Amino acid sequence: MRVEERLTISATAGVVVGAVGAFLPWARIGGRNRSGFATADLFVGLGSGSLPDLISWAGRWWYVPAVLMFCVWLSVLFDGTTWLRVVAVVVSMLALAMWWLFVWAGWNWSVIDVAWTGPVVTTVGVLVVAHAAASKRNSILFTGTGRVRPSSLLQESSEELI
Amino acid sequence: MSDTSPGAGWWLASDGKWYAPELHPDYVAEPVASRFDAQPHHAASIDSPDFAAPATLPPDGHIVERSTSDLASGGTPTETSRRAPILGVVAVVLLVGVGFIGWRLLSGGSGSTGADSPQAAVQQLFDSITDADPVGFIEVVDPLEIDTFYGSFKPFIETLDGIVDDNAIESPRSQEQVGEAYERLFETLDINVTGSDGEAPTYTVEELGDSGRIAKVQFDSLEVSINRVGEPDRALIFAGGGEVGALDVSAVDGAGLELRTVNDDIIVTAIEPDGDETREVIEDVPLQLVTVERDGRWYLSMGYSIGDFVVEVADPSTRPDYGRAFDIVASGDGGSATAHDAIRDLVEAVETIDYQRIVDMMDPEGLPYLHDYFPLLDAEIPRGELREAREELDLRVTQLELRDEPWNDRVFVSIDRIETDVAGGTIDLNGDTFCLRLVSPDGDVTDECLDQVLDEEYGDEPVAEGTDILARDLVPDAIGLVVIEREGRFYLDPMGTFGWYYDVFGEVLADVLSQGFNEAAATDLDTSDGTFVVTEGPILRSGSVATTGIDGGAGVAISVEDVRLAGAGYALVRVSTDAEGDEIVGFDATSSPQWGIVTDVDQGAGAVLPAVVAITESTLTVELVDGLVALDGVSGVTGEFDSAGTPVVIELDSTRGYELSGATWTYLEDPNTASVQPLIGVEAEFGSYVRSANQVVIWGEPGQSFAIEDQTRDLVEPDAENSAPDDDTALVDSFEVHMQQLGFDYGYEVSGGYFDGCGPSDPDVDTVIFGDGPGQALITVYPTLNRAEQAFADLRSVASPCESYGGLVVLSNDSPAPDEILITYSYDANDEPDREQYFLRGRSIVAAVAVDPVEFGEIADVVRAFR
Repeated sequence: MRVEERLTISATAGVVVGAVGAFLPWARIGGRNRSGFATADLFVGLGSGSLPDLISWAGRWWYVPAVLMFCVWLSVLFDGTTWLRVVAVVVSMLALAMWWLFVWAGWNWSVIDVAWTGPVVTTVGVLVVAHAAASKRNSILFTGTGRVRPSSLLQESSEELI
Repeated sequence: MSDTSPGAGWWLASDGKWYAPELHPDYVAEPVASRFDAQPHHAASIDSPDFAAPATLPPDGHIVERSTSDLASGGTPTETSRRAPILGVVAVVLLVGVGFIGWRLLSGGSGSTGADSPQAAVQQLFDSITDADPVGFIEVVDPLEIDTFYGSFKPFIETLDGIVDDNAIESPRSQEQVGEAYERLFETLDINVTGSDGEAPTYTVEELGDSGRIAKVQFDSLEVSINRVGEPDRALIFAGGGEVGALDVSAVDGAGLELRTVNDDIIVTAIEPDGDETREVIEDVPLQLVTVERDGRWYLSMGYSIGDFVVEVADPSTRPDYGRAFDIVASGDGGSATAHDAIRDLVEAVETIDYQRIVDMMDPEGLPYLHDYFPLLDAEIPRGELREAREELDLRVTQLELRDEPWNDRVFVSIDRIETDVAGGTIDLNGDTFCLRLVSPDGDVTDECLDQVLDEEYGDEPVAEGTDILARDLVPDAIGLVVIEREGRFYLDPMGTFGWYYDVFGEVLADVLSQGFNEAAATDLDTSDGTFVVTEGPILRSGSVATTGIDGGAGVAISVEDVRLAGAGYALVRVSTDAEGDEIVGFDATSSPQWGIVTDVDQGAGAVLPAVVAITESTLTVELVDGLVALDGVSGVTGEFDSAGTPVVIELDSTRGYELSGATWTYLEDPNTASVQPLIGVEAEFGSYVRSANQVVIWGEPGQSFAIEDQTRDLVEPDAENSAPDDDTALVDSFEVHMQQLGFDYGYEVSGGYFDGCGPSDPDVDTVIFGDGPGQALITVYPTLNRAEQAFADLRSVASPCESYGGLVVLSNDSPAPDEILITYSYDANDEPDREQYFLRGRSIVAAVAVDPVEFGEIADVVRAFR
């Protein structure tokens, strides 16, 4: 299996794990476990009324890392230039920081009773995607458009022939 | 060819055999090999026996399956063939993932709050209380009720927040501390709300009306239990408004409340922490809450719940028209086509006293109860009287000029001008200038403008010291009503209207504070009375304890339960802080360490404890001294302070007088309160003369001698004709001490006798008033006995009309005893008469003053006892 293919599969698996994590409990509110989406939507819903807009923005805040995670996953499909990989790792860490800030704020200020399953699983997913994005590779989508990397071919051929 | 897959690149043909890669119809000379030409080692590897194995094609040349490892072989043709499925997967992941996130983000909020069913909403409410879960609680409260009762005042609240942010009221010990205190309170208390025996309540749901949107949820029992968790011996400590105290949450450990439905009655059982129970019965009321449905989700309605409870208590046979409000919105029968029309329709309805139309004009979403409970109101209104009222009113609005502007997701409609014919006359109000023209039926014209009236009344006197804001500046820019749109129709929004005027008030307040008043406020905040602290701290039971300042405030609660006491509930504390400039709330800022007397008659058994609070970022240390020395000083006593200058309690006889030397003294304040009384010597200005006190506490320099001498004999009635000013002061002091038993402190002084100008008159005397509440005591010391007797005799002639007190009507002037006069009077037509009872005491006249008969009696008894 070529490196870019393996990394693509790895990153996609990370996205899937992250997505599963987002659907797992992030908080226990009103006697019920809430997924990350449900928790965020609840805040958006509460803030859409006359309650302070800050509540609504807290909900939207949760969605930003989800979008960032997809951006990082997309980067795996492209040529793994140094700057792209650095940006991808930084964005991954930013996404993680934003999610954990959401969790920390809820826990620290006793706003929500945090359930850890969702955040932890999602973190694993983000780390997997980040690791894939950080690895050097060719573009899996635009073969021939990037520079040829004999060393990567050498590596994969070696793997096949062992 | 092989029967099994030999490895990468081999493919399965239709004959069930595996063939080498180079035999595949699509095989192209391996480009990879050419790349490896420069690397003999790898090129040699490719020439492995597997890849060179001879093979024959199947008869039909049909390919059934390729080896899975083929995908990884890296050949250009296979890359081309793989790109399509990979692109497909990418597209799917992108579409599903980003699309899902985008959809959730855009639709987030709709249908994301509330509960699935009425009973789920009620259960969530109980769960939220049990879990100390504010989000879960708010989630199931009707959002339109939140909008009505909170949202209407949101601009005002934001203005207040702005005031706090923009002015010196950004005390570091404010909002954050309240938030932390809330957290700590719920971290310390475990509150459980369950059904009977800790199980979930059993619910019965009954739809109200036929709209399908209102349902009451009844439950047979509810148990609330409170238990303490977390660290022991911690308390919530607060200081504000000059008061300092602590809440020992462990004191409510084990408390509870049980509500049970028995034969249509609610049995309420309150369980105290010690297990004692008290029971009450609320008859013929079900245990229930009412829920409403909004966009398919169910919410708790506080308004309906309260309304239905009231209906059940008042008259269960009456039935509101549940769902009427929702019908009005759906049918569009209520409200008006435009915001202006809403005001005009309201005016028309008022002209004819069409109260149903008035109710139909009210916001049916925010205040649905007004509509649903309308039939109950309607049934109470006598039709005959209504007809007469309409005829008598004879009201017609002839001119109405309106203007509107958006406000807080609503519309504020200002009334620029309204001209009304009423009862033969005309009222013309200009809402812009606040000028009013009244034309009487006789044609007399009166013009008044509000700013002129205010100028005449208040002149150029600013409304707040330090500002140039005048009373006229408080007049709002407009007068009008707030209207809200529901489903294309416009309704009057009463709560929104309140909110608009609050908003205007908030802006004026912000103006006042921005014009320098903030300096005064800041000064106040720097004083103890202005200090606001909420913090958490240890409960000191003996020995000493130190606590570190958090966010500027540190506190220690004190329980005197375990220390040896001098008298009921007294103990001694010494307090100090580490850093210079720290403030111990209520204590003298100039010395450290400092002494305080702890008074707590409950001796730590109650939930409220005395406390010491310091404004410090360093450390507050409080030492509870084991033993407060109490000396018997009834017949006089001498002694000396120990090397630490420890204060001493002296027991006295309140009927005698004493002279103190070598020490500073103060009274022991009301022991019924849990407080720490700092010994800061404020009483020293009254000299060393002590009278009418049972206990005083004295303190002085370490090792210093002190003496208390019984001076009773010298204080028997002074020589009336040869009194000295010092004796006058002593009499006033003595009266003050006497009135301490009612907690009366010095209030103020007025020249002359208290009723001078309305009978007696003596310009050479002053009257000193004690007590700042509705009840007061006063003393007037005359230069001679004769003049006091003359003034007292003149009091008997007090009558109305009285030139000095216009509006005063003397109702009675009696003499219950030879040296007593009781005067009752009304002033400016007050409902309750004022009572004043005068007593002649040597060359002094003392009096009790109050309105409330019971309070008056208590004060009079104490004043009468003054000798």
